[in-house]
Amino acid sequence: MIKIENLSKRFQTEEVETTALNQINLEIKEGEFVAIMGPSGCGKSSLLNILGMLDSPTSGDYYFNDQEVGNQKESQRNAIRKGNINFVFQSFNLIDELNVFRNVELPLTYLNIGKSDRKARVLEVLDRMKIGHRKHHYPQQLSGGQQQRVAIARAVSAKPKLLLADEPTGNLDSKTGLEVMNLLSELNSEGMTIVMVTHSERDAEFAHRVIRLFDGEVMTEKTAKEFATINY
Amino acid sequence: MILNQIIKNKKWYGINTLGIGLAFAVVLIIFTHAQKELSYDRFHSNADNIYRINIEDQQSEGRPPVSGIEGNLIVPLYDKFPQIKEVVRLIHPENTIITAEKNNFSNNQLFFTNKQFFEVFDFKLIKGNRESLFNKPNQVVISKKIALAYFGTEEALGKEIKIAVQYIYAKSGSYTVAGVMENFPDNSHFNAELLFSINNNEDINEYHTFAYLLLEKESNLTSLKKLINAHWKKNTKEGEPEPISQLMPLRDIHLYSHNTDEMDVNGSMSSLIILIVGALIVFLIAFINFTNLNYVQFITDLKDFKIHMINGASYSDLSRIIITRSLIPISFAILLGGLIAYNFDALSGSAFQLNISVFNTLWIALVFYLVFALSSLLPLVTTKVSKDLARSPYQGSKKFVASLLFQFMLSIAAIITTIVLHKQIDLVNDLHPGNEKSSIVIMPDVPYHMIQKYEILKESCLKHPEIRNISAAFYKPGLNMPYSYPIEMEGIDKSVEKKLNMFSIEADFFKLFNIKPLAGSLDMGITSSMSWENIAIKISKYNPNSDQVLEKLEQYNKEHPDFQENYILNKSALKVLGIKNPQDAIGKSFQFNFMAPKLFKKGQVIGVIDDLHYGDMFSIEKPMVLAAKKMFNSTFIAKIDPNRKAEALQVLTKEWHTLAPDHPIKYEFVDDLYEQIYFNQYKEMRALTLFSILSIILSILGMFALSSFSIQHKTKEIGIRKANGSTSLEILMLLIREYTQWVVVAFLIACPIAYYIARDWLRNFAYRIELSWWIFAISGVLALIIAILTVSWQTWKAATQNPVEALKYE
Ligand SMILES: Nc1ncnc2c1ncn2[C@@H]1O[C@H](COP(=O)(O)OP(=O)(O)O)[C@@H](O)[C@H]1O
Ligand SMILES: [Mg+2]
Repeated sequence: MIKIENLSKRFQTEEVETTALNQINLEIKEGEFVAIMGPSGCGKSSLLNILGMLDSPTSGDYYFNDQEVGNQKESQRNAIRKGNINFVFQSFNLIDELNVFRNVELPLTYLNIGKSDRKARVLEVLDRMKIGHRKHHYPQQLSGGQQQRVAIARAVSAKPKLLLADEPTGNLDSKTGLEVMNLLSELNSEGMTIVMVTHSERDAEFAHRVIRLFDGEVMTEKTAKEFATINY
Repeated sequence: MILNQIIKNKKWYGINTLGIGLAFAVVLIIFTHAQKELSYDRFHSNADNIYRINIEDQQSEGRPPVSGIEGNLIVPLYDKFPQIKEVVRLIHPENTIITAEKNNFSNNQLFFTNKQFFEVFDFKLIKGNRESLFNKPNQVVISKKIALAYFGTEEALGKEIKIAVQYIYAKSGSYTVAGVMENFPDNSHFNAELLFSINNNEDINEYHTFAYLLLEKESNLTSLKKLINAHWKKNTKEGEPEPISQLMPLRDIHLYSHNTDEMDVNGSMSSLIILIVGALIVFLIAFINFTNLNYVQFITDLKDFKIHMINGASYSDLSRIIITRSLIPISFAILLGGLIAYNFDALSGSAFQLNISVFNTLWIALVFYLVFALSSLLPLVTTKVSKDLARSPYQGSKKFVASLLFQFMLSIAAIITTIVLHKQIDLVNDLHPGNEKSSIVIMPDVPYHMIQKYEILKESCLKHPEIRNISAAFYKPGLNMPYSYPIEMEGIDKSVEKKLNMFSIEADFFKLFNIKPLAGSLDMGITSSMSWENIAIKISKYNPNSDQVLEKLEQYNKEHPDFQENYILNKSALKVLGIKNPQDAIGKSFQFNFMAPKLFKKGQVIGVIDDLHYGDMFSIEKPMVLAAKKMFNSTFIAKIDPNRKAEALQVLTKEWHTLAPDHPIKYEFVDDLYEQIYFNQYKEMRALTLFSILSIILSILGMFALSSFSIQHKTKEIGIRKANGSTSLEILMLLIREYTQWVVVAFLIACPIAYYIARDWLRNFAYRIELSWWIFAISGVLALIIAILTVSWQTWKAATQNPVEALKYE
């Protein structure tokens, strides 16, 4: 599903140039659940942004379903992302002025789906996330765990093929974090490909595979293990 | 959801609604007004080929020409020049009494004219036959309004209207109504309600008339003028100045004619330009505020836009969201602006007499929708939304420097010019004579039979305590009549002819206007009586050597041995005569060589006054000699108790009516009279004041929103600084400096601009205020104070809060 070849990302700010990703190669198959780990600032979010086509690589190629997308125009990438990819963030990123129902409905509104269909799907996914009774609430009125469940509901309501999660449990206590991880793994078992950035070894246990990044580079399994013993 | 939006972003909605609303009102009002001003006299099908002919005035330097022309200059125009197809004359008699159905009326909108009037102009006729109008003598055409006023619902055609004309020109008599016209449209430079017939061959040629020429299409004006001038020159008597013709296109009269003695108050192109530029400035400031606030709002909402995008929104989806959101303040603004515009006349005391059309309202509203809705997309077009979900692209106030600078520059320039205009109008009002101008009542153009009863009127009025004083003068304040005649004075070289302007006054004139002498006294003593003046005129005019009349005068002089002619000079007269010290003129014998030579006796100069400034201030004061001649004093003046104006006016009306039951009293207040003279200048001053206030309010709002936004983004910085020991005051100063430094730069740019505009405007006047530095300084300081207060309001809250709190914020 995903294939990345010699991909680099550099940020040019006024004073310095930062290399966030340096000559990365990786492949992720359909239906996989992959965790990405690494210290802060090593380029995990940058990689996720590129995978989600929110940003383009400075050099290298990115194939999504065998189609080169890294060097496409923004509008092109937007069109491919639509309905295929969605995100879950550490900080939930719900829209404050929309209630739970409207937040979850959001991706469907951009997909030419009829109103009654939309309603049915939103209610279904809300039930599934056990948040249906809160559909008229606004995000500020919910707890962190509830908000993240709404965010996941929104991310999956359009049934995307790829779900990108950037530290989804980072702002949650361990009990609610566990609930969220169970949800993700359930979604994965139904066929959704998931790439998740995490700092938590426990969360990483849910993944089939862990990719470790260090200073913008992917470490081999072996060096990663060695590194882990030094660092953690 | 929309309600949530509005509540959350009330600052954004409020400021934009107010700003765009004011801009919409101003644009709608000024556009409608400009459209009317530019449409004057264009409704005539001949409009392009009609010209008014005037005489250029070569004598008085820089004075605009008089609108009318001597009748005898018109005569050759009828048949001597093939380019001239028709000639229309309009004679406007002052002081008429009209009688219809046994009722007396006084109407100032009446003219005597010839048959061609109805061929050249397109004024609509509702009743009567256009072709046959004025084919018979003594016909009159009246407006719908007059028909209703004089005859009610009865058929007006065929009715009799009598007119009694005070002075000799034009015929008094009985006229038959031959037509009823539609009331003249507002955009006609003159308004006639009654048109009395004259015949082209009638002997009225010595009278001052307005004359309109219908020329052949594409006539060569320069050559026509040359031909006319040459013809006039042939007929000019030796020693008299040759008249030079001026052909003013009909369409230009309203906006470009600055002639004295116009038929109606005219507009002026420069006023119109000030209004249009002012409207553009208000629009620009509102637009700048909108784009700035929009940008700020966009940054605040960027996170939401990113979420939309991640969930599949394309740029066009985002555009739709942004445009939809902008439609709310635009719609409210158009409602608000429309409300202001449609009630503007009521709010402003009918400054413009607007007639706003639905069509204008709709298309201007549409333009506003387009401009503001599309410009709300600017931030989206210039930002990459999808990137950097966590980062805000806000980069301090730098991005807004140019627009803040521009707004403040405009505001400061507007403040400076507004102060200059107010100061100049104040100066003009100070220079004109009279202390409390709102309690001086002028009765202009008094008919001759009332002039004869002046003394009786004065005596009976002064019995009432509400009337403080009564006097009279040659003509009404604001006019500058050129009646200059040669003089001889003791000690002044006779070989070079010296001319002074005659201005006749009544003895109490100086007291009433509170005028003090520079030297000598202003006590006119015993002045000539009306009957003496009548004899003197007779001797001068008809038979100066008739023994009989001379004898009568001798006899009269003997009976009034103490009547001695006293003269008063103004400062400008001293200049002409070459006298430096006013004291030197006192007691000198003085001879005024008036056209009626016996009317002014040889006498002496008893006083010198400063320049009187009785006339308008567009030209410099004439050298004047003031003398007391009752027969000339056709303007009565009353000083009344300012606290009992209504009673005083009642007294005046009552006493007047007792003496002249058939002639209704006409009166005006001096301050109103002068305001009419400076109609355009007052209009410009008021418009500019309004625009300054609007632009300042809008700039303040804009700056307020920007600074509150930037402070919101600075809360953390402030917290860190405070944690590191900065005091609140230091932080306040820091933030104030960020904004106010631009005010200083704006000030430096605004000064020269305002200086040139103000200097240009002051050229209207012969007497000008000085553009002193403090006017500029005050404006700058004012802008600075406004800026500091606006910023501080926001900053103080941020600067004084607990640093821990601030750090928690992020
Ligand atoms: N928009 C940006 N501009 C400049 N530097 C950036 C930007 N985004 C990320 N970086 C830099 O790139 C590096 C990787 O960042 P990121 O991918 O966010 O790391 P992580 O998510 O692993 O903590 C960091 O050094 C960060 O400062
Ligand atoms: Mg990160």
